[in-house]
Amino acid sequence: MSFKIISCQDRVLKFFQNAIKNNRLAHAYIFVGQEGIGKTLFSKELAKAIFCQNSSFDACDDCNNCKRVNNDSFPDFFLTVPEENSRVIKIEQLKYLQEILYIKPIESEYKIAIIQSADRMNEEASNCLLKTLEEPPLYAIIILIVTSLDLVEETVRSRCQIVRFSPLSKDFVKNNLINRFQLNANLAEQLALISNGSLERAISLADTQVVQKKNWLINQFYKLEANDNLTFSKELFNEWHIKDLDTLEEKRGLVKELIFSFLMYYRDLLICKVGNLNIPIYHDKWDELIISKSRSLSVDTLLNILNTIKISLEYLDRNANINLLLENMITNILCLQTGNKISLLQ
Amino acid sequence: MNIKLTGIDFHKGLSLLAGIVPSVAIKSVLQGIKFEFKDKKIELSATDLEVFVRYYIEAKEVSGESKGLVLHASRLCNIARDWAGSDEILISVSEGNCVLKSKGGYFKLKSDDVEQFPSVRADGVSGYIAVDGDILSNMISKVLYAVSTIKARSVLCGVLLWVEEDALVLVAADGNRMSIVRRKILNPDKIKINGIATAKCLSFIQKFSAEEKGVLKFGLSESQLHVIGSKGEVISQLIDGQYPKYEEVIPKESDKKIEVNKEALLVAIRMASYMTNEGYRVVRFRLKKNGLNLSSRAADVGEAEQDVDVNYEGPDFEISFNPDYVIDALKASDVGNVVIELGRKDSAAIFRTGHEQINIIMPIESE
Repeated sequence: MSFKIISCQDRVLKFFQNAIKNNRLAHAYIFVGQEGIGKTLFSKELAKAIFCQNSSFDACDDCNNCKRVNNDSFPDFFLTVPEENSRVIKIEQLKYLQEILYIKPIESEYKIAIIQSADRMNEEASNCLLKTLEEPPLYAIIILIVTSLDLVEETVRSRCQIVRFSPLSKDFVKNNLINRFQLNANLAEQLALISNGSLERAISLADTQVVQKKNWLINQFYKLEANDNLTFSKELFNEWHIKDLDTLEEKRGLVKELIFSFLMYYRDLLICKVGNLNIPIYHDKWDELIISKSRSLSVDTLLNILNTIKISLEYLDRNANINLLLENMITNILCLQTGNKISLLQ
Repeated sequence: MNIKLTGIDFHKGLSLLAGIVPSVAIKSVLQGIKFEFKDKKIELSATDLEVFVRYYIEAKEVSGESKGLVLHASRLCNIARDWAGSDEILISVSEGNCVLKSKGGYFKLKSDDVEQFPSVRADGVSGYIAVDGDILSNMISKVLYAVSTIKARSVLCGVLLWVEEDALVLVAADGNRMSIVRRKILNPDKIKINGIATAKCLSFIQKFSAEEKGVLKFGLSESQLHVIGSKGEVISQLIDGQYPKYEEVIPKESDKKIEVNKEALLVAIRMASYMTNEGYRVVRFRLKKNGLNLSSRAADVGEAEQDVDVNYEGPDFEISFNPDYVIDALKASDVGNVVIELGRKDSAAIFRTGHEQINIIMPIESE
């Protein structure tokens, strides 16, 4: 592997190749973009390109340094990821990193530290990292990998160069699913569409059979009555087998996909409503049902529903109770759809 | 490949290197010890990415060739400990595996990939200075306790190693105290050394010198400290940064000077410290004619007073210190009497605790 395997990130690739050529690498970067589009892969390839013994601007993948970066055993390369069963980077991990960064590099001119999920740090951990970002050693390159800049402290953000990663193209995801994971073309097409340019997400969706579950969900949407809110959320839990999962992390992951399905459905309705049928939609096709449903809702209502869903996603990231969250979101959506006709005394 | 060696050599080498193998390694390969075979020597290497140690064991007999092994350190140390009394251990190395045989049985161990293990060589050292291992170890013990444990202040997490002309100076400080020790050395080539070594490395050098028993040669490159002994070498990465100018911290105007018996002061301050608590570690020093009174008081604990005889003729004077800092300095002293030099109530005090060994301790405002 080398930069050749990096796809759909031409702008970022060119930027770093120039930076390596001109010896203008910064001390700290934030790689921002949705999950599963190759940010960590790129940062590893970048480290290999910098440490490679045979090539100046790319990795040869043949030398001992490249092999050791691949195996995470190169002494001047540190990949920090959240510990098992944890979603956040702990302060102890950052303290260790801080300690090791101030020791001069062992085998090369640089020391590269990659911090995955750097947007999931508490304030204490952020402050610990800030100290290193304020006075980085000359040889240090720190790469923070985040999905959203909103969750990164302003003080940390202002000390890093921000590099935005684009979602992968639909064709790239589809071809990968067909060639690498032997999925059939139809399923690969659907997964590529709903994964929103994230290969990792497409793969996890394939594992959890989300396409089938999403189709069930859409069929249910048409039948929903105003007072179905609580029964529907219970049905959702059963049909999506959320309770069968072992860990809370897995449950949250699946609930997130569920909420994404809501988001995609109402997004499609909004597109249909504004009448721009050329914009790609997540639905298989523009059928009568979706058109008639969109006619019954105003643009304002749809925007409010989308906003409700977006807020629910935010609450999910802040560890809200998943049962209450789903019930609350469905109740709010139905309230908006039906013009607040839900009786509080059900 | 087959190697024969004695149990005690095997045990000694491994137990020294085990001290550097990290218990929880960020990189799994570091939990191993690397074996390489050169002539009739076995070269053992271990590292925690901060300190790299290479140690040689003499083999009794070697036959065949091998590119090396990386074996899990803690398992290997357990085996070596139990076979320490064995006259002969046979190591047979085959493709990625190793069999250890001695009387009573054998162990078959799987090797990690040798290529993955960091290979560190000392690079760019301009010159080496020879110093007796015991002297270096003793100097380290006189400063190591003052090293800062606050990781955010990286340069203070190490010890300044400074050589100019014919003197070696070690300095450690944590912001509230500083410890300096200086010794004459032979430096015919006028080699200059100035770098910050990690506390972990110096602590390991103490163990290394105890094992080596003799002269150690040490030198600095831009990024490494290199210590060579007769049976091995230690390479340690230096801490990046500029050490504060320590000479400027040493008070120049200390008009009160007392000489006090070290043991008596140590006992008195330790007893006074019993009446302090975690949040308020303060012992007040009251100097009066021919006497030093130490007192402590904590609201939820109680109070204590201790008197120590001193020769003092000056005016009455009061100053307070964290007792832990004074105890650490006195414990590291190997002389009978220590000299305390005091200036103002709010300026640092000098504790001269041995030959060319001084401790600067900042006072605490007690009221």
